[in-house]
Amino acid sequence: MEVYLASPWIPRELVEVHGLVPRGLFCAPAFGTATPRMAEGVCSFAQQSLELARTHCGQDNAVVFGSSCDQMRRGFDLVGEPQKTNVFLFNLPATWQSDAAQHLFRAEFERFTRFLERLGGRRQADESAATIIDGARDARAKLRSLWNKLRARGFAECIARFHWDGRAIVEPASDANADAGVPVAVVGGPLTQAQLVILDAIESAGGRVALNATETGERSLGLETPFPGRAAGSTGGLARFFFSRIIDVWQRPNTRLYAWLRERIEERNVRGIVLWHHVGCDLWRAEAASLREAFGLPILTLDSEQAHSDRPRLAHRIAAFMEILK
Amino acid sequence: MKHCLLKPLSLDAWDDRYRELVQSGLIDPFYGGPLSRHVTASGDHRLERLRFDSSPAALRLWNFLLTENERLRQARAAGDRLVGAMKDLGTVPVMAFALKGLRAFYPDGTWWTPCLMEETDCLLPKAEALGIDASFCPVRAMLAAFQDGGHFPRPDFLICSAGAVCDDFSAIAQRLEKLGFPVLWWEIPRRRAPEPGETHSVLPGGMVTARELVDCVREELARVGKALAELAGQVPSDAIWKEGVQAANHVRGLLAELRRTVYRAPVPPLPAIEMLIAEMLAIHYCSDREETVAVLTDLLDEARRRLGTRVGVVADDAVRVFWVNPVADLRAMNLLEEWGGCLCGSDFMFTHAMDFIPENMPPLEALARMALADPMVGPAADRAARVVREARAAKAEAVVVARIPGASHSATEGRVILEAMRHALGIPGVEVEIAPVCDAMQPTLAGRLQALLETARARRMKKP
Ligand code: SF4
Ligand code: SF4
Repeated sequence: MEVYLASPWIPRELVEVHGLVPRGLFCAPAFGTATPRMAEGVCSFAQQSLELARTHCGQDNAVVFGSSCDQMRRGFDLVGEPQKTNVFLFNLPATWQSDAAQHLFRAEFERFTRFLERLGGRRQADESAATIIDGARDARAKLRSLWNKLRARGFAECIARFHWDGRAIVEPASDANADAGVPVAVVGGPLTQAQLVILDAIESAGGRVALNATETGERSLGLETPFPGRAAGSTGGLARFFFSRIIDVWQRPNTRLYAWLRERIEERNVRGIVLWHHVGCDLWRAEAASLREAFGLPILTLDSEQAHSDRPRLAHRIAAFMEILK
Repeated sequence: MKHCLLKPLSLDAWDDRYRELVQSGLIDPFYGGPLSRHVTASGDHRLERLRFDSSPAALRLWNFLLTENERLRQARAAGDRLVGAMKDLGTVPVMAFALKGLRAFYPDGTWWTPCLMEETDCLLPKAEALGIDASFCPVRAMLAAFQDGGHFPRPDFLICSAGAVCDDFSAIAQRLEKLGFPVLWWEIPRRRAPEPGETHSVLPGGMVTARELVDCVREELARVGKALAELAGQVPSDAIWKEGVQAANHVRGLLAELRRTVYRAPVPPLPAIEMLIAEMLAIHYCSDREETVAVLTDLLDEARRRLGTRVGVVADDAVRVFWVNPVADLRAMNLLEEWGGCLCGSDFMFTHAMDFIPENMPPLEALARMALADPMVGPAADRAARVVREARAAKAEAVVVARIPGASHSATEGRVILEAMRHALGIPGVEVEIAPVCDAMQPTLAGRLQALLETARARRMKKP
């Protein structure tokens, strides 16, 4: 059975440990090819997730939503009526500094385990579970190290492939020139496969995506946290490991996101920020001014509506932004 | 026998009435005075377009509401510490008011300032300049109010719930923190029904949730309580929180009685707009717990007196409307009555702040359960179920869901609630968007509300 995960912070390893197939719904190849029919105020990404979720539920697969924003929670309400057994809402705590948040995550982790068992999943022996978890950790580390070795699209596609089927396949030859182009960071919500044209447009306009901090980019690989050996047998240790790797805009406070960005923006000499958000996403949209103040860099805000309906104008705006940065 | 119809007063007419009342011996509370002074002193121009109930009880209510910022300043000058509670609408103030020398208020209340000041304060454009534009709900006015400092005094301490809260508020509160206003965040997880075999807890209002969520919130409230007690220079204890719960229940009891008296009456003895404001007192006592009791007692006495003498504020045949969500423009409540409707029940988004808090368990446990009963932290279907239950009891003939411009929840919840009402009660309903100053959209609003009221009336004829 395939288990579609609507957020990169829902531990895909746990699904695999239960003998089921995890799929990052947010990286689904089908994403973004359909024209969304949005009710006013609905986030275009949440809307499309909902539609894909309905399709997959209908095909007897399972779908797991994350509770990280109102749009996703309410989307779950529309798909996951109480009688449906193959839909789950993973309660991701917004706070992260308190014991209560840790306890809540752990409780959800255990509830998620029970859900996987209800789906027919069977937990593998500790040794195999450890191999899966360590393997995923190594794959993430390998992918993280590629940030300056591939072109922006290639890097994004590698990450998407990992979220989709767990593989960290990298073409042997490096195709990026780490010194060419103006280094920019792309920060924001999920950039679906169909929206990767934005990365191409940045490169065509003389930019270089030195940091893909979207929800489907390098950020989605999570924080590299120290993991004391093979803790697969300890639920508490595992839950802590998965909880501590989250870096996202909805966390309160979202200082973790800013610290993670700062480290990379400074290290990679980023000269400008492209803020990417889906129409209807308040959480990312609200960050434009804070990002500008925090990093003192020029910001270009792009949204999914522009990307969908007016590509030439989008390319023009990106080119104008690159001109300014040059 | 028909009811005697009491007409509402305009602001000018209230000034004349005020003079008469004073001449006949009205004793004003310390924040009293003629209502029109709020236009000149605070720029609350919207008052000139509103219609008010003519009772001294209503005068006291309005003056209480409109002097909140002034009273907060006086409290600070007298040595009180001010706590800015954000988003939870009804939980943190119960704790803050239990501590001597603390006073809590909701900066969220700035939601209504653009309406009251008819946007002359430019809070919305100022919020936009701070990065929060019209795609967010009117609560964005709060951000600008913090920054310009000209509305409420800067709180000594800010506390905000996070987790299962709307994206608008979450984003704005985060922006606020980045602007240099430190926030203590506490987790309110999304409410869910217990799974088979899972331990559960019953919440005020009758919902049931998983036990582990209550544990989480109780733990968080203990953390909040510790911080509040530190601010007040006291040691937190169950005895302190218990006093807070009992005092809150006193207010809630009065409000419950007022709602029963007004909403269950064949013809309401108090107008919709005053009921909306009276209900708002539950969330933080409009910064003064003792005075809230006095204000509600006066309103209840007035309602009972009118009921006894068959005095009503709308025509006998007014259509009974159940109203969901607060209105960004208070004038909409007047319009409902002017067009032939009346309020018979409400869910202004803080029903949990009106539910009785259990007193037969440790106070933080009771408060945690109350916080989780917030209609906004759970599925819209839970909220719809309560609306259906209350609308049925109130014999509602129609339902209005006020859509809040920009609100992340408004995109989907209205449909769920209206569908549930249609399915369970078969009554007509409508969703209408109401801007902070709704004059420009009044023709559309009139069209939709009047059509709803007509449909409800037509259904009366069809009934045997
Ligand atoms: S893009 Fe924003 S609103 Fe949409 S699902 Fe993600 S966080 Fe939620
Ligand atoms: S009105 Fe709605 S969107 Fe706005 S702050 Fe309140 S709950 Fe949030």
